[in-house]
Amino acid sequence: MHRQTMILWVWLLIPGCGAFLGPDPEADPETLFELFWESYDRYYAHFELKGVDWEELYEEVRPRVGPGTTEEELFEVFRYMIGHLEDGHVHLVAGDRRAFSDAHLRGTRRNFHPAVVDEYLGESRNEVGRGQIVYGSVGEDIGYIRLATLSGGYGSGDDAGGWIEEIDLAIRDLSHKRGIVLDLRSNGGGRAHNTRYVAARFVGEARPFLVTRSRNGPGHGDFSEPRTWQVEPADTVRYLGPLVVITNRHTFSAAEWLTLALREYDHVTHLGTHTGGGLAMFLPRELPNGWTYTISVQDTRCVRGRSYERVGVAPHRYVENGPDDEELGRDTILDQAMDVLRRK
Amino acid sequence: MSGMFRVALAVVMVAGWTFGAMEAAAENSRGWVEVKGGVEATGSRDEMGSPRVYRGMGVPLVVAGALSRGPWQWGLEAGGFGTGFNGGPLQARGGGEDHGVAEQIFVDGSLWGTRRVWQGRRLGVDAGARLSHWTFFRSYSYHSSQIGAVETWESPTTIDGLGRVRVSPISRVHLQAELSVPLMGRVLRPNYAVRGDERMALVERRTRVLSSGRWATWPTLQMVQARGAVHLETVGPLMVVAEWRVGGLALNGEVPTRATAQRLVVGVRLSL
Repeated sequence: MHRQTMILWVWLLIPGCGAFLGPDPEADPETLFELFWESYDRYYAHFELKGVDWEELYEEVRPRVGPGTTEEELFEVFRYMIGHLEDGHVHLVAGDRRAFSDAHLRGTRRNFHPAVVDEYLGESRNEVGRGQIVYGSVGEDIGYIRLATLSGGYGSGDDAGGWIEEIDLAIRDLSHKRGIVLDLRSNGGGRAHNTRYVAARFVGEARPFLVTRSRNGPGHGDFSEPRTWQVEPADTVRYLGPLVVITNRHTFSAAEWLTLALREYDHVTHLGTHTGGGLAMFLPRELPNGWTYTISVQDTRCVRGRSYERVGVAPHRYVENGPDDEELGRDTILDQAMDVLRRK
Repeated sequence: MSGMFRVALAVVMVAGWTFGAMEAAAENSRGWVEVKGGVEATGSRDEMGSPRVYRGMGVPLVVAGALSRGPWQWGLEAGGFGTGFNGGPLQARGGGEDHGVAEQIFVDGSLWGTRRVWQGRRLGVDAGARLSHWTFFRSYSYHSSQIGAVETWESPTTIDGLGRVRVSPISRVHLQAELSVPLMGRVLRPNYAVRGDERMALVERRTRVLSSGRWATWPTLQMVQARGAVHLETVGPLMVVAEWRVGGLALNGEVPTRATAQRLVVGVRLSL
């Protein structure tokens, strides 16, 4: 028997609890709109930071939704609403349709071409960590480590682990280099554990790097007590030579945390373009019609109190690849990073 | 005397001795233990992540026992199940394969004491108190493309008023109905947005598991547990037990939640 059918059968056989739980809300356009608007009003963390008047948006948009509003029209209304938030952790999924809040902010992808980097690495190219860590030498005396993601792994706290631990192999192999380029371009983020695991391998002392607060009340300024995140130096494998972190607008979320963590140290230079500007934890939700969406629920700032939501973390040196770099097999950002290290 | 006859005689003697011993034990009964199994239907509605009702099933194992002296009786019971072990996930009604799934763990236990307040020929009434605990964990994933989940725990520990009616309509058949309502309870209700190893508390004042559980009473905490049971005497101290139990929990306030669990189990009771 199909599992859903079996569950329904048991619920019909033993009635009563259905009444206690109550019916699902109607999935009509007006109810969906109210639920969607209210959930952001209650949980979204950046209204005040971004100067978004959510009430005013309600007044503007609500008249466009009525009993006869089609799914397509409602989807476009929701897309318009979340577009005001310009938030990389806010998106809507409605069947095959996707709407992203900050798609217009991400800019060009030309600032990272893995195939071009592979030409720089040549025969020194190695892969570990299930292919998520690429490393080797760019030039004779400069090491290169690319982290494609910070997702994946298992556990939490002291019991966390996973593929990220193989970054130790890369660091051991490159320990004799005069400097290392840590390439976080187009790294979409992932787990906080992976962030701190990597950062711990490039620092000599513990330092705080991030302060987070979660939205915890009906007011747009209601937040929990702050939590400070800190990097603790690893007691096993470490590289404390000059490090250049390179980023682009697709360096996102936990990868931005890693960027901020490493920028706290003087031997680290941040180069490339601004990061993506989406650092907050998010709340997944769904509507009665099965559409799903996410809400950023966390105020995230560096230890000096600055928020990088939407704008991203500005590099110490702003460098972009040229429009014909890929064709020429050139990576200007990587070239500049190597120059920085050679001068150290 | 043939070997076969000796074996048959021994079997009859052992069976007779066992039956007699069990009869004697039943007459001087001071308590009982039960082992039961069956199905449990759970349901939840957590406004934190979804306005939809989620429903699921498990196959719990329940153990119970009690001791009695005069009109007093003290007992305990524990049972539960979890997704992937002896239970399935919660699913949204109408939810497809691709979204609206929650892993669940449901565990409940209680310690109770009652006093016989009235005993007729076929009808008896007990009243007392129960220290009751639920832990109902759900981890919601609304869509396969979503990274992250919503985790919700409700762990109410309540002091309940307990009433029980016992009826023996015919020989060897005993019926029992029971109702308990909490007088007060301590509610631990962690509630998290989860991304990988990062768990962010969403309802801050209720989140620290050991320090911020709150004493709650009606109407913040609304909880009812009811139970109906049939006990059929069989051989000696052994009874067959069939039991239906239903429980509902509503936590009202800033982020309301509702949860239900109803259990249909059969098993055996051994009188001690």
